[in-house]
Amino acid sequence: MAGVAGGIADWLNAPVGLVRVFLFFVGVVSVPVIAAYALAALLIPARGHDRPTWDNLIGVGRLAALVVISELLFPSAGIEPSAATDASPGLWIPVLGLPLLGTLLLFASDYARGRARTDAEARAVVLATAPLVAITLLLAAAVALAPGPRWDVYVGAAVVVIGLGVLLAARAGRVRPLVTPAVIALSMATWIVVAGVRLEGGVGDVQATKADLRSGALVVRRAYGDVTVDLRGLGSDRPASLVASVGMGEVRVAVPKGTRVRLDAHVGAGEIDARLAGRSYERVEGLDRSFTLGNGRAAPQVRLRLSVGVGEVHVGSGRDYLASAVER
Amino acid sequence: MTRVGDRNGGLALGLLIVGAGMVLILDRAGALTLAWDLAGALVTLVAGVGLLTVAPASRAQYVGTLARITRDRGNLWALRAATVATAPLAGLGPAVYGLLTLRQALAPEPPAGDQPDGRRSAGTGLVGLSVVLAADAAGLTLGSDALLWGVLGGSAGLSLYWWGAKPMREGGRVAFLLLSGAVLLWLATVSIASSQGAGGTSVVVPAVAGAVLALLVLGPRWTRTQRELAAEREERARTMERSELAEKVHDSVLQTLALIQSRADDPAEVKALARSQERDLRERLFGERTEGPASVGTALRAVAAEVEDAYRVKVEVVIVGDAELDEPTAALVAAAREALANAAKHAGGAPVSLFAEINERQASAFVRDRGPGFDLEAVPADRRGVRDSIVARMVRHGGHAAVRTAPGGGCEVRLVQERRR
Repeated sequence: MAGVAGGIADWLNAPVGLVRVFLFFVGVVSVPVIAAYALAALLIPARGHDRPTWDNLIGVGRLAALVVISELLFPSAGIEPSAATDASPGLWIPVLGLPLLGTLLLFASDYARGRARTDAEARAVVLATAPLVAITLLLAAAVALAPGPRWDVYVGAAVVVIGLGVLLAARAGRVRPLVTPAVIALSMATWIVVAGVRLEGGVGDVQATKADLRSGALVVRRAYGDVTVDLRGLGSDRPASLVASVGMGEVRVAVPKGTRVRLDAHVGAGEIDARLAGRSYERVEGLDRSFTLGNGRAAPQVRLRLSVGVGEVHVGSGRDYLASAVER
Repeated sequence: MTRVGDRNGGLALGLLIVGAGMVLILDRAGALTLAWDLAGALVTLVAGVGLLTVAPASRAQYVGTLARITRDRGNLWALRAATVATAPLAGLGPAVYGLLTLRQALAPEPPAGDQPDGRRSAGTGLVGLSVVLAADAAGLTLGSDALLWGVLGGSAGLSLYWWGAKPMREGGRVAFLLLSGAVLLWLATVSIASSQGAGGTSVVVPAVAGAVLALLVLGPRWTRTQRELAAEREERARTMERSELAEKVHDSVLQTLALIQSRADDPAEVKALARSQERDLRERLFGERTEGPASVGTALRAVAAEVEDAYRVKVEVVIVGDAELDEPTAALVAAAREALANAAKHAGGAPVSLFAEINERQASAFVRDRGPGFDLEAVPADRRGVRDSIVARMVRHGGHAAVRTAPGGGCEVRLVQERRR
């Protein structure tokens, strides 16, 4: 994708496709490999050059786009393709098909090109992508550093800014290199907004127990990461309430056995799986899924309001409902 | 390098993205709720317009019905609008368009003009798809999901096929295969999804549609192969005709010229030779042959007499059996004439014999001389008599020839032609 596989293949005297496939499978399971690939793509000069050029930046950018797209579409806790195909083609063509096609074209463009980019072309592409990357990094930094505000409100504004940039570039007759980044940005922003990703509460995993309850209530929010709350051992005499929201990631809650629980869960894209005592069990997956689940007729002792933009919600009274998040 | 198309497309794209951003802001502000399906339509539309902006303007030339319709630029836009507008109605517009492009793929000559750019076609397709998606979200489609998406997928495949049927740039073939595969996969998934959704009966429609589609897609490929095959055959026939003419010229004109050289001191003889050659050449070139020997036997006797006259040698002729002269046996006769002439030239006055046997299964002829013989390997490559006029001619007409000779041992040419039942 950035020529690294080709270089390795040259060095090993092996077919480049084989190296690509190998790198792909290693890269899927290992973050360091992706990082090493990005570093190699950034630093190793292309054949015939003695220092890294603009073209190197394009390779890295393409890698980043691929990682982000795959993270959005297939996060570790993302939607299963089978869940999406249950719905109408009208839904899954744009949601699954188009991004897949776009990724495919990203790969295919190398093969179809036939000649190397000139330095000027590469420079134009990088400079056109720069504003988009800057906006994205700014937003990511804001989300990570300032947990207070709801940054997802500004995603639409960022898209408007990008659109205005395209308008200006079109007036100047230099819109060409801007088109692809702009379309990718809009797709990602639309995903974030429609899935209801709450970009609030910073980045990182959180683990909480009943000791963290303040006067019987706990609110946990994360923009990106996993939230694990262990409420086991909570006395049945004390009512408790938990509100948890995660933009992208998982929410896992273990509830005390033999308590009356009321659960309101929503997921923008992904899966909800809940097993309460008294045979109350429900599991859904797909886009924009939610349900309310309760056991017992009397007033609930534990109230859960859980929402995830892209990812999974798991609720149950057993240890295994915490397992996946804890082992990471 | 600023182009008007770039500018307008870019402006439209910018406005669309600004509008989409507004919608996203309104959604977050709680003023409206953007559902997944409408969001999908929106992104599809922007992606399509983006592709159209990036793609170079191409003047794809149509042939057949489409050429007549699109001669007027207004009609071209009307065709596009009608195709997109009727797409949600069970895929009607795209299906008609796909069938019209099929006619395009069948055209004997690829239409002049640029290869339509893949990005442009894909962009148009995405814009059309966004219309269908929006109509689907609003419940304005006609026909079941399986029918609608099956027909749309099939039409897309047909149009793709038209694109792929034209000569492609390097690398285009890979993309074409990928995209065709994607469409087929898509169709398969649609049929599976619909069969799960609505019981067994609905499997039939996509299955039949798939079979028809396969026929429609493979059909033109097949006809094109047939056409190429026919052209190749014609070319081969032309080559053969040329080499036959060369043989005839060798048999008659070149040999006569050689004779004239050797008899240059006898003007009467030279005149006679030239006259007979002129008559012979006229017959061959302009088909003025008034009457030909009707049987193999008489033809063989005639060529033996000709050689006797021309080279003044004695040819002993023994012919067993006879048959009507046809194309293969005529080749045998011509080869025998060449063999006799060779023998007469090189035998140095020694007797030459022709023995022929014609029965129902085969016709064979043996030409022998008791002359000095020659080394077959030592014949120069530019002397064409034995190789072309005898061996190659017999092989071309389904027979074979064998030459047995050695320096000092005479020469025997054996010609065999299997006869048709």
